[in-house]
Amino acid sequence: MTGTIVIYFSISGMLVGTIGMILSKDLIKKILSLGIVETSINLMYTGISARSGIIPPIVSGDFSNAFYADPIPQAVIITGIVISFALLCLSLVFAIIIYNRYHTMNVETIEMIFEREER
Amino acid sequence: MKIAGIIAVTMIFVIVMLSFDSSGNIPRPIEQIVDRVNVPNAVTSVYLETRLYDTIFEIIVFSITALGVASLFASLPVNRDEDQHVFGTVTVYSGGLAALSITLFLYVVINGHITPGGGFVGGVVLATGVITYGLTSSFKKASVHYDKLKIEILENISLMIIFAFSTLIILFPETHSQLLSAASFGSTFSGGLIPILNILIGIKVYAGAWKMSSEFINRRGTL
Repeated sequence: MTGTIVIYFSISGMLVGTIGMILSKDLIKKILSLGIVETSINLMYTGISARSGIIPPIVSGDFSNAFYADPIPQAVIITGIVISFALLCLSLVFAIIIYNRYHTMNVETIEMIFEREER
Repeated sequence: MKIAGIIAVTMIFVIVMLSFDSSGNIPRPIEQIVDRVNVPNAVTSVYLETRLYDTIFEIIVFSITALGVASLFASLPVNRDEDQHVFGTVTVYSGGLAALSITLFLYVVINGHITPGGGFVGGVVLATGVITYGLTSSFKKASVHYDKLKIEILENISLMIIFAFSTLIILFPETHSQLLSAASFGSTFSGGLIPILNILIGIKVYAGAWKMSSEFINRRGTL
């Protein structure tokens, strides 16, 4: 039950983040929206693992009638967390490089300057 | 165009939401995992034993990111502004917090297979403590240890030992599972090679996280 509610909330969080990435014109806001999407995906995996129970999967003695959470989605999402951290770091570095070159964070202005440079 | 994109994204997510089967068959693999690996923390036994390939490539991704951040930042100017406004009470507390985070790092990393925790968590805990100290007291003082303790060399050595031990575990899984089941279930030494891998991953993650954050702090004032 808990897992299902968490999964529905995380899917709506992904929707909010994706629309934010489409609508905002500021590069930093786009990167923050990407962060929201990544956090929602992590939350979704937690929800998937909580479908079989919400007790942390740390076994002490017998595990006959306890409802442990599924450990495999949690172990998989550790990879996802590290990769999302790496993605955020690299995109922030590129944002700083773009700012140093064009002195703005507005995507449309950057595109305009870029087209003018190409001509 | 933009509205069409939003409608498309919304439709995709509605389809995902409707197609999600909440009453489906839920697998319970925890008994088999604990039987196979003989370690209390099932998450650790998954990502350091049965899905070790994933962890190796994750560490490779992390190292490449640290390398990429350092090399991309090399062309950008460093901020030479040295005066740092500090607040007395925070300075006193942040030193204690750094000491506490070192202790917590050791606890989380060594007991990663018994209690919640592991290498990645431990490394991030240590990096957070040291960065908080640097931001609130003196960033110059906090960044001295990176050269003094030769953390760059330590990072590369730990990366090589991680690869060596992972290869051992992947090539000889039977020997490692014998090593795991020899000790009593739940003791600190029952992990075989897992606590050593956790310590090395902790050092690796700490070095990478500190390197990346210090590069960002050195180029402050750009955004």
